[in-house]
Order: sequence, then C-alpha cells, then structure tokens
Amino acid sequence: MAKHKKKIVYPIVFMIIVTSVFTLILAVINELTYDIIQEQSRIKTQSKLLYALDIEYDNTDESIVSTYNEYITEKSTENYTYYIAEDNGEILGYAFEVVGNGLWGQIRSYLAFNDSFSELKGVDFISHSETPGLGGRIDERWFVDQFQGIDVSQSQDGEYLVFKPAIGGNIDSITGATSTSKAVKSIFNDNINEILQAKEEIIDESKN
Amino acid sequence: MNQKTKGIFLLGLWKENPVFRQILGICSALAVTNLMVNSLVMGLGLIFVTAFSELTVSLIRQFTPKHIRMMVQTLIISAYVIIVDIFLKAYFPSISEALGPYVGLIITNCIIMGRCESYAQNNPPFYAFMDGIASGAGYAIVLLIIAFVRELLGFGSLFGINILGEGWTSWTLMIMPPGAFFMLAIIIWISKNMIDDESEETGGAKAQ
Repeated sequence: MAKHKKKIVYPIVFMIIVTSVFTLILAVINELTYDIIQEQSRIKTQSKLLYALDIEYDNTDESIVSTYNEYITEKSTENYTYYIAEDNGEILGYAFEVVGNGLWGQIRSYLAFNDSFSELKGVDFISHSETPGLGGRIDERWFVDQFQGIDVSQSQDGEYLVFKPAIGGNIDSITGATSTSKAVKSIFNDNINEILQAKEEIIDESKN
Repeated sequence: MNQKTKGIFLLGLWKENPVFRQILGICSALAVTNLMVNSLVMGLGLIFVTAFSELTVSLIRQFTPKHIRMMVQTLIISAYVIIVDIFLKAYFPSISEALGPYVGLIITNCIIMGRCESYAQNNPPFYAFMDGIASGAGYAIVLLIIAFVRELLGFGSLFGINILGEGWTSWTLMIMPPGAFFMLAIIIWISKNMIDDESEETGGAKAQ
C-alpha cells in the first residue's frame, strides 16, 4: 500500500459517535436520579440540623422529615438566616449555619444555642474536605458531641472553646490533625462571638 | 461453565491476581480497607466497571482505530465509573459518603485499563466480560481479606457488628495507613511463597 498516512476522518467520527452515545446514556441516568439525589441531600441536611439542636429522631427518612417539620422553622433577619426549634410554643434552641476555612477547603456546619444563648446546644458538620482519617475525623460523634452544653455566657479572652489540656480547656483536639482542629475552633469561636452580639435582636425577632 | 471460563477465573482470582501477583490497584487496596463494608462496595464497584468496560471495549474492538484505542477505553471506563457514583449517591448515600473520592478514583485503577488493553482488545465479548468479573473479584477478595483483619483488630467488629466484645482494646495502628501496608505486604509475601512452590512442583516457570 502506498498510502501510509494515518486516516484522520474516521477516528474523529468514531470518537464523536462513542462520546455522544456515552454522554447520552449518562445524561439519561443523571436525569432519572437527580430528584432522588436532591432529596437525599435535603434529608441529610435536615438530620444534621436536628442533631445539632439535640432533637431526637429515628434514623429513617420519614422520621427525619416529620420531626424536622414538627420542630423547626426557618427565619431570617436582615443579617442572619437561622432555624428555631420549638416544642409547643416553647423555644428549645436556635441554630445557625456557619462557614469557614479548614485545612483544604470550606467547612460548613450548624451551630446551635439553647433558648437563652447561654450554652451550646450542639454542632454538626454539613460538609468539609479535610484529610480522610485525620482531619476528616471531625465527623466522628465523639468529636461532635463534646460541643454539647459548652458554656458560652463568658469567654476567656474572646475564646469560648479552648483545647485541653490548656487551663479552662473544654474540647479535645484531634491527634494528628492540628490544623483542622485549630480551624474548627476558630470558626466556632468567631461565629459564636458574632452571633452572641446579635442575640437580643434574634430573641426579640423570634417572639414576634 | 466451560474450561476456558474456568481458566480465566483461576488466573484472575489466583495465579495472576491483580493485587498480589500484578501489584495493580494498590492505592485503593490500601485506602478503603479499614472497614469491610467499604471494601465490599469498592470491590463490587470494580467488578461492575471492569466487566462492563471490557465487554464494551471488546464489542467495539474491530471498529476502534488502534492509535486512539486508549482514549476510547478511558472514555468507556469513566462513563461506567460515573454510573456507579450516581447509583451510590442516589441509593446508598451513606456508603457514597464513606467512600468519598475513592469511587471517582476507580477510573484510575490500573486493573481496569490493564485488562481492557491486554485482554478485551483481543478477545470476544463473552470472555472479556468473564475476565472482567474474574479480575474484579480477585481484587475484591484481597480487599476483603485485608479489611477482615484490619476491621477485626482495629475496631473489634466485622461489617460494623461487634465481634470481640467491649473489653477488646482496639489496635489503632490497624485502622491507620501503616496497618494497610503491613497487611498487604504479608498477603503478597504469603501468596508469593505459595505460588512459587506450585510452579516449582509443576516445573512451569514464569516468564518474569
């Protein structure tokens, strides 16, 4: 054969066809599952909010949704969007979504206070991209649970959360994940500070 | 099951096991093996992706221009991995979250590309599909063996069910990355001894 030049048209056409076929398949699958995935992520966020507010729920989708609808109302003032947990008109607590920089990316979490903003009701992390197995362990219950009931009515030099074993320490950091632990602490400290300054406004607002 | 299929499975599961004979797919074998559930899902995901990628590559092998075959294979593999990812997100959100980025990284698992290139490219669809299952299963089994030891010693549990009782002191080392290295090395060591013995007996030396 005299023609040794590689054909150019056929490979391109072939690639275009293969790509189109697979793109079409993926698009269809994506379309079919889009609602389910959205729903799953909404339920997950709701369960985290309930957890932060220390409201008990069964770990089923129906229970999460019904408990959420029963207790929680979303409100917003000029500066804040927040969630109020109410049980028969009695306020159980307030939750705020807070965002800050972790080691690798943003850490989003819920931060919940009791009705008088004197202590933390709890926290839960919505999303983060910390190192799996190290900083990623902020998801683990032992870490999350230690924020429950922390007194925020007075601070030590503007810090509400202090790592043990420092004097007045109230939180254990994660071994091997110093940067992530520090990031979490400062995100929470900063946001607690900011929220507490606005607490009068929020308490007034929620009574209306 | 005919003779040829049996041969394929013997090679994939044992004599040419992708992990301990070909030392492929090591990264994920080290990363996800701290829990049985994660390893099982990862193994099933890989069986699915390898089998269907090989099937597809084999089906279109006569039409694929040789010099763009790698590009086509990568496209096919990615499409199947995305399907697995979407499926897990929609129906098993908690597992999807536990595996995190590793599902997407199935794309980079050398086993799939290796089998597509060395087997599916030259063999009919049925055997290519079988070869994918065999290689994927070979990988899955090694993962499960490693995870069995790591989860049992590291958490005292299997598939999250407590086996060794409350009094068990967890070997934290087993959950950490070094535990995976130790386990994998031990498995490669044992299997190498066993397989070398076999080949000495039969006199069939390997061309390696």
